[in-house]
Amino acid sequence: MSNFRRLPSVRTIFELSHATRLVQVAESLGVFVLLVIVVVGASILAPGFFTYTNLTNTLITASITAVTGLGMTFAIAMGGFDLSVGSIQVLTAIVAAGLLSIVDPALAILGALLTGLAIGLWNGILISKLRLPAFVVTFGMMSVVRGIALLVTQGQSVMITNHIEFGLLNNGKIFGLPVPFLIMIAVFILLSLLLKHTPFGRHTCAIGGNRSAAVASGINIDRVTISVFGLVGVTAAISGVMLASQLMIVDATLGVGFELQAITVSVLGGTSLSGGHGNLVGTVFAALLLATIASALNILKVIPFYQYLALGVLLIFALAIDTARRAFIAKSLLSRA
Amino acid sequence: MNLRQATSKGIGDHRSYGMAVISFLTRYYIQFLLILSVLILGALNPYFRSPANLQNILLQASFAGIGAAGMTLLIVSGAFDLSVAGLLGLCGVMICQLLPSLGTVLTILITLFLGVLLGLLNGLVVTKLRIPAFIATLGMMNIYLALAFIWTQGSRVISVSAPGFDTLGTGMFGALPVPFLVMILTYLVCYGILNGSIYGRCLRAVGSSEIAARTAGLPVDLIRILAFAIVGGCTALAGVFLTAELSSASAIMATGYELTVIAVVVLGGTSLKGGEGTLSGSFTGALFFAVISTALNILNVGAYWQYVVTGVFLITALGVQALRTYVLGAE
Amino acid sequence: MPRQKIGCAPTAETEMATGQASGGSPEPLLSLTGISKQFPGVRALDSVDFDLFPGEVHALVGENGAGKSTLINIISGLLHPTAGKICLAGHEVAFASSMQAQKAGISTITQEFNLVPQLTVAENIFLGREPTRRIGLLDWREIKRRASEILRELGLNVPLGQRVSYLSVGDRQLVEIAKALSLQFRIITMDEPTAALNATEVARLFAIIEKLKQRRVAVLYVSHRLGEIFRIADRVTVLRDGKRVDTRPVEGLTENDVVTMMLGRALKKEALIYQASPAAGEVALSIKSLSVPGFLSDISFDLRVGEVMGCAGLVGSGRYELTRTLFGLLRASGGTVEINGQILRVATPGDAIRRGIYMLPEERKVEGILPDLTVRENLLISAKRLFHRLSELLIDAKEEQNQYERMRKSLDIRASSSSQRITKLSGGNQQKVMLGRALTSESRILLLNEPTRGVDVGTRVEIHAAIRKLAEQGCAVIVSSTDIPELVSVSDRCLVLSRGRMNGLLDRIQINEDNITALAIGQQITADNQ
Repeated sequence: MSNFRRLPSVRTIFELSHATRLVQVAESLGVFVLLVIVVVGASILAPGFFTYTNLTNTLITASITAVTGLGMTFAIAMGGFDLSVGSIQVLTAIVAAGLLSIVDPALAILGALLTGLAIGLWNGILISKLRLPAFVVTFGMMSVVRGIALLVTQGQSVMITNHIEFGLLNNGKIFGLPVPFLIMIAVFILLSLLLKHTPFGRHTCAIGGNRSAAVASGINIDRVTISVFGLVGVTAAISGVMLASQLMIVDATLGVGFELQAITVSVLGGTSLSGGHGNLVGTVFAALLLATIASALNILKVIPFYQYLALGVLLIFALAIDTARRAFIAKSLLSRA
Repeated sequence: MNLRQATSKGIGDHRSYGMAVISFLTRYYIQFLLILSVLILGALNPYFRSPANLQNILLQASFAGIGAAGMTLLIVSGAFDLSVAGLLGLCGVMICQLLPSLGTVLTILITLFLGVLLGLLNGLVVTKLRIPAFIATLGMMNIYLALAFIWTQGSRVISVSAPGFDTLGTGMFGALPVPFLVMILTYLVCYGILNGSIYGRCLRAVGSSEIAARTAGLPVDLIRILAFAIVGGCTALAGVFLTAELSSASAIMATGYELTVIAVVVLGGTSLKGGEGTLSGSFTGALFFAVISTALNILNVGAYWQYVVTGVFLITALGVQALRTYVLGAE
Repeated sequence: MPRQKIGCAPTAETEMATGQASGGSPEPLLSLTGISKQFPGVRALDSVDFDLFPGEVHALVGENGAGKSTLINIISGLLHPTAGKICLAGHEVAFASSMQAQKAGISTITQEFNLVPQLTVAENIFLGREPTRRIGLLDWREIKRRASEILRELGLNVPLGQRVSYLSVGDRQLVEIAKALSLQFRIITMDEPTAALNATEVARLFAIIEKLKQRRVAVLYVSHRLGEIFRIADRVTVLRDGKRVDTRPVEGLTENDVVTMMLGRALKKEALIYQASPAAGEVALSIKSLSVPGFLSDISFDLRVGEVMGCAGLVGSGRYELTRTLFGLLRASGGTVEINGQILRVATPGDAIRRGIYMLPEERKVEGILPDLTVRENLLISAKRLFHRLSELLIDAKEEQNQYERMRKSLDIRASSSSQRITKLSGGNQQKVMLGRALTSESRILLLNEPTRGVDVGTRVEIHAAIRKLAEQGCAVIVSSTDIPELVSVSDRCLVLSRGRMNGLLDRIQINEDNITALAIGQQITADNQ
C-alpha cells in the first residue's frame, strides 16, 4: 500500500492552490528570471561585462557546457547519471586534435563523435546488461577514459597546426552569432524534439518516472538505457570538439570537474533528480547563468577558486531546492482532505 | 519460503557444493589475488622482493587503506562520500599552516577534529537536505577543494617540517612503517565498531533496509551522520600521514583519492548495496592496490596507467559482485 | 502454449453450475476449470470453476484468505495454477507472465496504478505503442483524436495534456481504464476499485462500467463492498476457504444471502450495548478525535492497561493507518493522543518507543525484516537498552545469546542457529522473530499488525496465548488484523472501522465473527436487526 493511491479528490490544475501553481511557473521561469537578474547585476557591477567581446566569450563558454548539460538532462530524466562526461570531453578533444594532423576537419570531427558514441554505448551496456548502478560505473569509466587520454598524449599537449580553419568552429560567426552558440541551439532543438516528440523520449521519461509502469507497457528498458548513454557520449564529444576548437591546444588535464558543471546546470535548470521529466530550456538558461557568473567574477578579478566554491554551493543549493519543491507539492496535494 | 530453507541442510547455508565454492571464491578472491601477485612479482623481479620495496608497499597502502576503513563503514550503511579528496587536501593544508606554531600533537588533534567536522557537514547535507549522497558529496568536494585553494592562494605547495612530525611519515616501528601500524590499528578499531558494537549493527541495518530500520525505531539520520563523521576522521588521519610523508601539502595533493578508496572497498568485496561489508577485504584491497602500483612503477609502465587500472579494477570488481548476487540470489 | 479447441467448450454441467449467462452469448470468453493452487502448507484454491461472458460484470467475493487474490493473479498471469485448465475464447492457454496475459487481452487494474506521473494523460494511454508520423515523430493529431474519443466515451472530463501527477485518484483510475480500452482488452479485472473513491467518483466509475458492458468487455469485479456489487454486477461468485461456494445471478439475491454463502452460515447480529469492560485497568492511551487526512476521521477510544483491543476493518477503512499514526509513521492533522494524561507527540518511531509504544509492522518483507542481518540481530534490534541506556555500546554476545534462547524457546522459533541469516527462515518463523522483536523492546503498549500472518495453526494458538499473557502482565495491546477469527479469539474489546470512521466498539460479549463482519462492511447493528 502506498500513499500514492490514496490521494484525496483534487481536481484539475486550475483548482490547485495558488502556491502550487506558483511553484510550477517558477519551475519553468525561475532560472530565466535569475539569469536576467544576474546579467543586469553583472552589467552594472562589472565594467566591461557588457561588451561585444566579453558577451561573445561568455556565450561560447556557456554553449560548451550547455551541450553536455542537455545530454545529461536526458540521462537524469531517465533516472540515471553520467559522471564520465568530463573524461569523454577531454578524450574526444584530443582525438579531434590528433586526427586533424592526418585528415581534414570533417573526418576529424566524425572520429571524435564516434569515440564519444562508443564510450557512451559502452557505459550503457555495462549499466543495463550487467545491472550495475549508473553512477559508480560511470565513476569508474571516468578514470579509465582519462587514463586513456593520458596514455595517448603521454602527458604532452597536442597542438593543432594543420587545418587551422578548424578554429572557425569557435571564432566564426553567422549572422553575428558565434558558431558555438548556434551549435548549441541546434543540439537544443534536436534534443527537444527527441525528448518531447518521439516515442524514444517519452519512453525515457517513463523509465525515470515509473520504471515498473514502463516495463508493464512493454518498453525495452535496456535498449533505451544504452541509447540514452550513447546520446550523452555524443553530446560530450560535441563539447570536446568545441573545446578543441576554442583552445587549439589540448592536453589530458582539461575537463576536470566538467561533469559537475553538467549536472549542476541540469538540476539548476529545473530537472528533478527523481527523474520523469527534463527541462531542456532550463538547462540552457542555467548554463548561461553559470557562464555569466564566471565571467563577472573574472572581470572583478575574483580569485578563480572562489568560482569553484560558488559552483559547489550552487549545486547544493539547487539540489536542496529540488528536494523542497517535491516535498511541497506532495504536501499540498495531500492536505486537501 | 519453503521447508528446505527452514531446515537448512547442505554446506552451511548453501544448497550445494557448487554454490558454496562460488560463494567462497567471490568472497575471497582479493586475498587470492594479493598472494598470487606478490608471489609472481617477487619471483620475477629481484627488486620487488627486497625489504625496502616491501616496506614501501606497506607505506603506500596505508594512505588509501586508512581512508578505506571509514569508507567501508559508510558504504555498509548505504551511502558514499566522494568529497574525500578535497577533505584530505584541506586537512593537509591546515596542517601546514598550524604546525609551525602549534606543534605536532596539537596540530594533529585539531586536524582530526576538522575532518570529523567536515564529515558531519557532509552527513547533514545528505540527511537533512535529502540530497542523494554521491551527488551531494560531489558538490562538497568542490567546496572543500576551493577552500583549500583559497587558503593556499593557488595550488601552491607548502612545505612543512617539524621534528616529531616527520617521523610519522618516514619512521619505522620495528620492520613496519609507522603509517602501516596506524592502519592496522584503525582497522582493528573499525572492525570493533562494525562487528562488536550496537552502532555497527545499526549501520548494517540501515544499509540493509532503511524502511525496516526506521520502523524498528532506529534513528536513521543520526546513524548516517555519524558514519560520514567517521569517514571524515579517517580521511583526516590519512591526510596527516600523507603530509608527513611528502613533507608538504597542496589542495590537489589527493586528486583521485575518492576513486582509489572506493575501488579498494569494492575490490575488497563490500557490496555497494549496503547491509554487509568486509573490513579485512578492504585491508587486503589496499595492499593489493599498492602492490599493483608499485609493480607498475618498477616495470616502468607510465604513471598514466594508474588511472586506467584503477577504473578497470573497479568495474571488474563490480562485475564480480553482480555475478555473486546473480548466482547466489538463485538460491 | 498448446492451443486446442478440445475440452474448452462448455459442457452441460458447467452451464448449469454457472447459472444463466448474460449477454446472450453461449460461449464464455474466459473459462477456468478445476483450478487449484497449492502453496507450501496451504491450498489457496481447490478445484475452482469460473467463467466470464463478454459484456458481463462478474463479481468475486469472499472473506480474507478465501482465495480471491490468488484467483485474480492466476487470471492475470502472475501465478501458475498447480492444476486445472484456463480457456480463453475457446483456446486453452497458459500464461507464462503477466505480459502474455496482457497480450491475450486481459487487463488488470490493481491498487498500484501503472501510470507514469510525470507524463500526460494522452501519453500514458499510448505508452509503448505511440502512433508516429513518417520521420519517427509522434503523431499528436492521431493521439489526440483517439484519446479524446476514448475519454469522451468514458465521460472523463480531463484535459489530455494534463500531467497525471495532478489528477485525483479517481481520475487516475479512469485513465488506466482508458488505457485498457485503447488496447482493446476484452477482460478487465478490477481489484477493490472503489477503496479510495468518493461517492461521485464511484457513480462515475459505474457509469463507465456500463459503457464497458455495451462494448462487450467482460469485467471481473472484486470487492468487499456488497452494496456496490448489488448495484453493478450481473453475477456473483462466492469463494470460501479456496473453494467456489456458488455462482448466482445478482437478481433475486439479498445481501444476507451473499454473506451467508461467504461465512457458511447465517449472520446473527446481536444487539449493540455499550458497556464498560469489567476488567478495566487504568487508561494507558487515550485517543480523542484523531484524524488523518484521507484516511481517518474522528477516532476516539481509550486503551486500558491489561486489555487486548482488537481493530478490524476492510481495505480502505483506515485500519492500516491507525496503528501507524500512533507509532509516528503518519502525521495526524487533528485530535490528540494522551498517555498518562500527557499529550503524546511522536514524530518518529524512535519517539514512540521511548514513550513505551512499539509496533509490529504489517508487511514483514517490506518494512519488517532486515535481510542482511542474522536471526539474533533481527530479534534484538529494538531491544530495550538501545533506546534507554545509550552507554551500553558494545555487544554482550553472551547476554544476547541468552535473550535469544529465551525468546526462541517461548516462541518456538525454528532456526538452525542464531547467526543464520534471517532470509533463510520460513515465513512463519520470520514472523515469530518479528514478534520476539516487539517483546524484547519491553514496551508497555504494543500495536500488533497481523501478528499471525503466515503462521501455521498450532503456532497461531501459541502466539495468541502469548498475547493474552502480555496483557495479563500489564501491557496494553492493540491487535489490528483482517483475520476476524483471530480478533474473536484474542480481543477483550474490538474496534471496527469503516471508511475511515469508527463504526462500532464491541465489548467482550458482543465480539463474534458476525458482528465484526457486519460492522466492517458498514452495516449498523441495532436491537431489532436480525
